[in-house]
Amino acid sequence: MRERLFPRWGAALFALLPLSEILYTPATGQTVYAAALASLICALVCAGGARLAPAWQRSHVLQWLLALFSLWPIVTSLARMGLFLHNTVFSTRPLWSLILILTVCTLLAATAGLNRCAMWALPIAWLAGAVILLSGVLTVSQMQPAHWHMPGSALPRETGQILLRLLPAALALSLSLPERLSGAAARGLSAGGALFALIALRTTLLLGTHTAALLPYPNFSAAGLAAIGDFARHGEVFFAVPLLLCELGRCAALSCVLLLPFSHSYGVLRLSRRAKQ
Amino acid sequence: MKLPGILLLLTLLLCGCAREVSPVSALALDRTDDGYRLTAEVVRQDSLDDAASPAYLSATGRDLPGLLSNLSNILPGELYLSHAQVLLISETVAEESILPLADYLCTENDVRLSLRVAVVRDGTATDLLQSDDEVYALSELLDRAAQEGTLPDMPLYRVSEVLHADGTAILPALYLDEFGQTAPAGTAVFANERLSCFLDGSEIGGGSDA
Repeated sequence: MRERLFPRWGAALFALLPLSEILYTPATGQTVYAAALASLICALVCAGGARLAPAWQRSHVLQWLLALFSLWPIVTSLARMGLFLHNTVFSTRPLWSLILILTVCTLLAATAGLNRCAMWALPIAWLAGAVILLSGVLTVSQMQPAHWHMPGSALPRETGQILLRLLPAALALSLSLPERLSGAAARGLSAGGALFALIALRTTLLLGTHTAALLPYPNFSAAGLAAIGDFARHGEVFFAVPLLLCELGRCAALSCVLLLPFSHSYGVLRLSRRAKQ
Repeated sequence: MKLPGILLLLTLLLCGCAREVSPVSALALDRTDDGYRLTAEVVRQDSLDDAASPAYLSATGRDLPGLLSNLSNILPGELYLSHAQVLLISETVAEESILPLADYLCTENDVRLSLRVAVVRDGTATDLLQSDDEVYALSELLDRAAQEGTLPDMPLYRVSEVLHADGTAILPALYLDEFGQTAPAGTAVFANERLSCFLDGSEIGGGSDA
């Protein structure tokens, strides 16, 4: 029986993309607006991309081009995840070993196929969303509204920087969708973008722009201030794990796009034409 | 057989993650003739009843990175600052610009942004740190005073932000009272990143009326 990619799964898969950006995005006064704007632009572009997907996939040349194109977001994601783990937790581990572990995890997840990656994206997206909201609620009392900034001249530049990281992955996925899921792609990117903007707002109001500028991962560091009494003082760990899972899910889905010309399958990967589903 | 082999290999890469650490609960920074002295309150849990007790270790150096490095050299385990909740600075340290200190602590990976910084009046920060024989007593005192509004609520991230914004900040001040107990001593006011005065109006180095 042919496996289907349900719209809810598709939306969750696309929600992972903006959520994956949270750990690495700086927190300036403009990040809130830039995150929302970039996610909105991505949602519109990907809604169009998803409509073009069936036509795009009829051409083998375009499919190969898309597979090569997906390499870029995969490599950047693995590199920044490895660096993040190296800079925060595993400082004594060699960077290459961390990237190797992440690559193996990505490939193992990708062998399940795009449909199942999307299926697993649903609980991960809910988990990440719940943790982000909880982290925000726990720090509300420490936020200072005086740190709020109105949109300024740096907004287009920051939006462009986020788009540069977000759009390649979103476009590659939307052009590879097996169904017409333009609505799901737009919904997922909008929902993920809303959480992205909210957490950027939390970081700005909590730390202020000057302190945030000192930190390599301000959203991660700000999450460390969320504590439930003496019980959970290392809130950043609870915050980072679901977001890293989001990024692994994104890498796995993009790896499925990369392997699509070989596997010809959206289901469990079997590298032959007979396995086409 | 490939998958178990790969997983075994990856597990081997994680060997060495379990390391002995020396958790620090509070730090005290004093000025000396040729630099600084950093004293750490290290949490020991090696008694028979498993109760935490403090041990104090000091190191000297010319700057904070050097001090932390010298301190980690004399500790039995790896210096672990993630549990540090209080940094005491003496008046002589506070009379210099504290912005580089705040910036360095913010960027230090292990140090928590919720670390509370307090100025010690009329004495050394080390003496005040060593006056209590209970771990985390200082942080509890500062937390309680901040909640009650008797001392400013200024964790490290807020100190750094206000100093960067206009160089002005207020920090809680502490002193050792006549019974040798740690007590609140008003508010230390910083202008141009340096200790300017205490909020109760006395001059720097003057006696505490608190």
